[in-house]
Amino acid sequence: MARKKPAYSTGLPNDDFSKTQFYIGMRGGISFTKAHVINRYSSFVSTTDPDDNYDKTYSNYKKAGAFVGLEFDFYFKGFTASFQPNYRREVYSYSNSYEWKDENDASNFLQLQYKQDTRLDYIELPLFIKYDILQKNFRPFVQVGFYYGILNGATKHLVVDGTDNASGTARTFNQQDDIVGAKDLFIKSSIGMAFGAGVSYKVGNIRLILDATYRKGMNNISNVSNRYSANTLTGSGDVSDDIKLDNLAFSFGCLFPMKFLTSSEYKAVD
Amino acid sequence: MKHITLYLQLIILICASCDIKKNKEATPTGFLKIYNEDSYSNQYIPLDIEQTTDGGFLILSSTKISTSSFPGIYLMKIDKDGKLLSAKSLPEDYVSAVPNLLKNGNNYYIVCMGQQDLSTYILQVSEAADITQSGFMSNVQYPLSAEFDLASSQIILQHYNKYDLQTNVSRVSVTGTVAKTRYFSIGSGGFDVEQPIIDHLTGKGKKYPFLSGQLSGNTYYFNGFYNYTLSLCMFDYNWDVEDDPAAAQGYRDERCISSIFSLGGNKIATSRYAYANNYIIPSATVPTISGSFIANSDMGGFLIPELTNDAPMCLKAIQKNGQSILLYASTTKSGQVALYAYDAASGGLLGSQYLGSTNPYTMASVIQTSDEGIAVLATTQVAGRFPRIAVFKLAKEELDW
Repeated sequence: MARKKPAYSTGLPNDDFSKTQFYIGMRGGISFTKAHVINRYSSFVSTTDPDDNYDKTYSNYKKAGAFVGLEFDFYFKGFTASFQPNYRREVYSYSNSYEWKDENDASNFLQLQYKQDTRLDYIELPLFIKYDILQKNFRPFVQVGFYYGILNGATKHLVVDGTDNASGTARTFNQQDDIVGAKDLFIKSSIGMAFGAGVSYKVGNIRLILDATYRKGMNNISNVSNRYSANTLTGSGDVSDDIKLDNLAFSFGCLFPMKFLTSSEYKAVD
Repeated sequence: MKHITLYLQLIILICASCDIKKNKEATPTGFLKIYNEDSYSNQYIPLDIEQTTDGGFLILSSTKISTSSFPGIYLMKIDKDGKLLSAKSLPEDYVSAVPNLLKNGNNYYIVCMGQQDLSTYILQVSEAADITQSGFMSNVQYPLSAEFDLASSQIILQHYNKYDLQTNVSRVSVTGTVAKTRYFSIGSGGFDVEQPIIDHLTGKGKKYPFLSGQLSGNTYYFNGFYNYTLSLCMFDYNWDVEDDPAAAQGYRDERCISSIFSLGGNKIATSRYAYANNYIIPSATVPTISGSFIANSDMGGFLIPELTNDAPMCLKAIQKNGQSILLYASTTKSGQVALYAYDAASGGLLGSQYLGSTNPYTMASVIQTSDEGIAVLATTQVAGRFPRIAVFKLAKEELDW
């Protein structure tokens, strides 16, 4: 009795073996972050103007962060479950402006601007579902998923610029930059949803990916309990607002298939 | 592979939800607030803080005024979270407040000096920081220190008599009626006290730790000028007029007691400075018999080298988890507020804590709050040059002892 050949050895495109594929790859890129403010706080209180809350001015999507990570994909009939653990730095910036002036002589004043970059390092564990719009070598795709970030480190970088007009002549100056640890100002967890689109292109057996992903933070990442107590910059008026982080990331990666058809070309299932 | 990943994500999400839920329910138990205004020339030096029954705080400060070299008075009310409820400068007739708010139940008082006649005024302060003048003493000039005597519901008031070159300590009612006065000769040695006292009152010179109050029973004390020196003197209003006080003598204004808290009988917790060095003394015995004396240099104490020369010291008794603690607050050379907690029973150090960063801070006062935390009042130099009022509120859990 003739033994039936297993399906995967036939080389036919529509057997079970060729419907699925595992990919392992790497990806990296840059990202831009927006701090979505929930509640505002300051250690400064105005004794003369109740409407002056010393609110911070945020610069959204201005400073670039970066990330690098791995990608594990399981492909089935145009859909892909994609696990993309990565190490990422997210950067957001804000500034506070203060002015003190002499009521009797308007030419006497001091202006200070405190500019701060907050750098957050996360180990992020995102899970996406991708859908390939075209099943060709050139495949545009959309993806949706969620992520969980574990805070690994945080710093604040303070730069103070000033204009001192107290001596009769305007003089601009920069104070020495300060970099302080800020890990206690943020909680460990950051969760959110992610949406993205991109393209992949098959080069040989490797698939190259270029995509853009928008992450929508869903929790307040500021540590409420430590708002005043763990911040060495509180003395200059800095207190963390309650914020959620939104992030736009552009990444490039390559995926290596793990299943191949037995053929003379040793061709990947795809 | 797919299942492992999903399970992993599920476990992590459960952990995350705990972290996030805890943060969502958390409320900051302490705060730091800096009360700023955009004036280039206004200056505020906080003096004392008291908590009101609504959980908020009254803050007494001095402020520079244009009509006198003596500082005016600035009064603030903030709520329990540090939000400003009111802030006002008092009429400029009132100057040079003694540096503590007097508290008697829910009533608060400010003792201050008249700008023109240098007499003494007593101002009653409501919990909402409204002011009414309750007492005036035309024959009591240069008020230096005041403390409420709970036993007699009167004020123990130390004042300077420039005509007889005396330190006087009066027991007065809140309406300004002088019940009793003891007179202590400063003497006329080589050390002239007049100008230093004026400079103390204007804030242009050395700030002296003038103190007065009840030690125990009928024994009262004042820390002020007596017999050429700034000394801690004990006395009884019932003694004969000629009876000398008991004294822990200093040397001129260079070796002095800087804080005092009565531990009962003739025992005190105290601190002193000597030729710029500062010492904390959690337990000491002072003479209380008329004419007896010791040198305050014999009281020893723990040298605290990080404090500023002749540092101001605030000493309060507080409780934490049923333990009685002596809390010392002062200012470091590096521009921070330093807190030292000592076990009231053993005199052992329980812990220390330093507050303030970025800009320099100078300690003004400290109190225990109703939640067993503390509130620390300080001056901070905003932008390194504008003296402003700062309040640290620390929860019980944030105290390092």
